[in-house]
Amino acid sequence: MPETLARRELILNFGPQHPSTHGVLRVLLAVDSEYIRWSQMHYGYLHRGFEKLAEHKTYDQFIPITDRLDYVNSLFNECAYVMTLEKMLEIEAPERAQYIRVIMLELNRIASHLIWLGVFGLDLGAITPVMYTFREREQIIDLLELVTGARLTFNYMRVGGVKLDFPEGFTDKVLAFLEGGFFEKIADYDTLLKQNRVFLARTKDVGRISAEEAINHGITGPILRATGVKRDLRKNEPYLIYDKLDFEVPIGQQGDCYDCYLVRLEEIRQSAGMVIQAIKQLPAGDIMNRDLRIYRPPKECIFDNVESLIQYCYLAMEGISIPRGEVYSRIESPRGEMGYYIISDGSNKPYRMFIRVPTFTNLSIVPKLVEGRLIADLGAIIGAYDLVMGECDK
Amino acid sequence: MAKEKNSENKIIRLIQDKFPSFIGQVNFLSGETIVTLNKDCISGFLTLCQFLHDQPEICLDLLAFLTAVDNSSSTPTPEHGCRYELVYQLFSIKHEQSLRLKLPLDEQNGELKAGSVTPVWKNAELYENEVFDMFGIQFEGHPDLLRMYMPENWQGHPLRKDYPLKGRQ
Repeated sequence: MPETLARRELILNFGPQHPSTHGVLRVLLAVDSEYIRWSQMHYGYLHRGFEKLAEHKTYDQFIPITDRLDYVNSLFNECAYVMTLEKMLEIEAPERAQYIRVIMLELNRIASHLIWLGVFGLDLGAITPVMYTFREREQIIDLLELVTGARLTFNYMRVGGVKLDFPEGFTDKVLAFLEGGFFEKIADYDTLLKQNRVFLARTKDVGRISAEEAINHGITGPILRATGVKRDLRKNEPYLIYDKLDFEVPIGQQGDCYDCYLVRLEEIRQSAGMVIQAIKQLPAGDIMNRDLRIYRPPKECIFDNVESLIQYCYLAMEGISIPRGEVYSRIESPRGEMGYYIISDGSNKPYRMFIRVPTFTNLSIVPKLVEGRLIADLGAIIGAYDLVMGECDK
Repeated sequence: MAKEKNSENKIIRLIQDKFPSFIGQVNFLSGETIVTLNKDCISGFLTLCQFLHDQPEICLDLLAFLTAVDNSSSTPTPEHGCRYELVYQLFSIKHEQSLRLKLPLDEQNGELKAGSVTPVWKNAELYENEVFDMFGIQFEGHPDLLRMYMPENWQGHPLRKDYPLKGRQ
């Protein structure tokens, strides 16, 4: 905190209630007319105590809670969590389940980027993009609802697979959506913002960071790619079936807000291509690993023989037990590297769970970026950094 | 898998050469390398971190996270016998290798202190705020140690094992 205020400086609160802060982020600013002299981020307005709660819930009970972390792309939270548990149990989901996971994840990534695109325009005062992108997002959410039954917090992934298989005709509907004009619509969004003079003035060379600074601040995801570092966990450390899909990793050059915009727009296209490929390669098979530590038998078997009943009742009452150990496993979420660090003591509840969220570290560089800039630039940077306070505050 | 182990073995050998008394235990679990340090190397920890960051063959330039663990209700108790452990997950973008460092901590003369690694990795500032808020571990050399999630005047540190789930106050 500055000890004495200069004669024209004013301490202002940017947030926690502000249309531009994407949730409840509070930035304390010391401003001199329109220029920011000093800023400090304050988190914690959406803190719900997930890490403490995790120590008191069984592993299965925690899956719907992980949904609520980054509520905009819930499937990524669940998938990272479930994959960490699978790593500790040393099992893998069957191939069909992995393809299903990738299809759902990439659809969720498109939906998340569409929200970001609309809201980023809205932050800068462009009200039209949000009407367009939310129209597409609505169709994707409807598709995801056909499979999972929910629109936002899905509770769909399970340890060793997924909860339900695709319904009849789902893959045809997805292909009809993606191949029937989606790419033209993405080209439409381009025409709205990409060459707009006001947009360029507000985002070009705003929040410029170099690759070394980004790495030193622990930034991952599209922002790191916008600085020119070609790092995507789906390519560098392939998980699920990403090594069987053909896609490119878009990178920027200058690390400013405009490059973040370009990278994310290209990611929407790549994700749509990945979903089409995955659907064409989708094999038949099980959707759940049959390992007896995690497998819940289907209803017909439970009513048929008592061993299935015992297995089901044991899992329902006690939950999954994870062997003693610790693992950190991560996936590439639309905001960056999302990971879970779980320490298990052999029981059915975690001993310690730490959730590594991308927004938390991505925001660490913002106070440095806005020093000496306009307050309006803070809005542009926060918009480009695509933050969701639900995951930041846990 | 074997290639990763070779490069991580090299890191451990380099640490062993430069800081001979630091390494307490090395574990390889689920494809990850976990180095638990000795509890008396707290004072030299910043030098170790600077070494891991600057040495070109190691180049662990990304701090993925920094957190703490309260071992007071863990069975069996860990070998070093300390209540707290700081966990640093480091990653190298250039060499694509990772390392997890665990630094044991205990209360000494009624104070729980560790050295801040903010000079080496800038995002440690936020993580150290979080650890201070949740566990009560103070970091020397931290630019502005504040509570992160709880209100500024909160008493108590929620993620300690003796703190109830539903909270006090």
